[in-house]
Amino acid sequence: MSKLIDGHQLAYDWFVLSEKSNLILSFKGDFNQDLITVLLSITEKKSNSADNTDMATTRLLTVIMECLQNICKHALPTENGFKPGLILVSQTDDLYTVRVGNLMSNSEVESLTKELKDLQKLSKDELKSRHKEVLSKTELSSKSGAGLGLIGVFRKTDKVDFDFKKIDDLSSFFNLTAEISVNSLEKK
Amino acid sequence: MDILKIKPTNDTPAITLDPENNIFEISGKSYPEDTKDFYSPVLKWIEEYANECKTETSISFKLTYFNSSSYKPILDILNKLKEVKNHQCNFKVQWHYKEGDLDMKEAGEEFSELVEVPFTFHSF
Repeated sequence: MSKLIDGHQLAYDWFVLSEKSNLILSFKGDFNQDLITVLLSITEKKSNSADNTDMATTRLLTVIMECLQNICKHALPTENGFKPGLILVSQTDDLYTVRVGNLMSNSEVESLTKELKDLQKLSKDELKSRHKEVLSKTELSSKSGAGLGLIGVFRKTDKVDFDFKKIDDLSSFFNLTAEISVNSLEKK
Repeated sequence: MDILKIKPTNDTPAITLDPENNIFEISGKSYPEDTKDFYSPVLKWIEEYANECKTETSISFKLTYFNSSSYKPILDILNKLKEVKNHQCNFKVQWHYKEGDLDMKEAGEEFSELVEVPFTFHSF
């Protein structure tokens, strides 16, 4: 019986917290391509109804797409092959915030931290040159975009933050938060 | 040469490559799970066309958004068309972007720089 009450409380707390945080989209589960297309189509409908520039919407969709495809490609699978992840998108008058979370192997934490810290230091122009440089070296045979995805996320957002929380000897929880300012974009 | 026509899906663009009616168009969204798998037949078609092409070829891109792994196949398509030796096959690119989407316009400008071919830009 007490378990049932806890469940109701969890649902209530989650709803209240979601409203307070201005969440327009939240999902926790095992990500795959079909799910990504559904989440993108929901977000597209939601943001089209708001009075936003096309570019802010496109940036939001692109960032969600890159982050979730990253989870599908790089997240640490559980024993039964699932890739659990989390996405939270919140919207205030002038800001979209996208938060994604997933499990990573501890052995990859150092290299990803280095890559992200490196990208955080670059200006928009430097990111543009880095993108061009990486693209001209990329081979089509590589399934992933060879780092182009992360560069893209940095180019399309105003601020990117990240964090790792160690879960056990094998895995850590990786969280990436990206902000897209609606006002800084030229309105038409 | 056969016409290549691919219907759009949620994550892949509509593609029409039709030399008979002189229509070459890639439009919609592009974020397939496996970009290589999706674009391989398109690149193969373009390669064959590049050998046979005799008339002016104007290719239109009308993308709303695409993922990072789609950059490379798009670049490869452009490069293959650029390499055409036949001078009668003058190659042109029409780059369409949603009005106000300056990121998409910039993506076109960057492709144009990389392949060193001038693009014509249109908003829709």
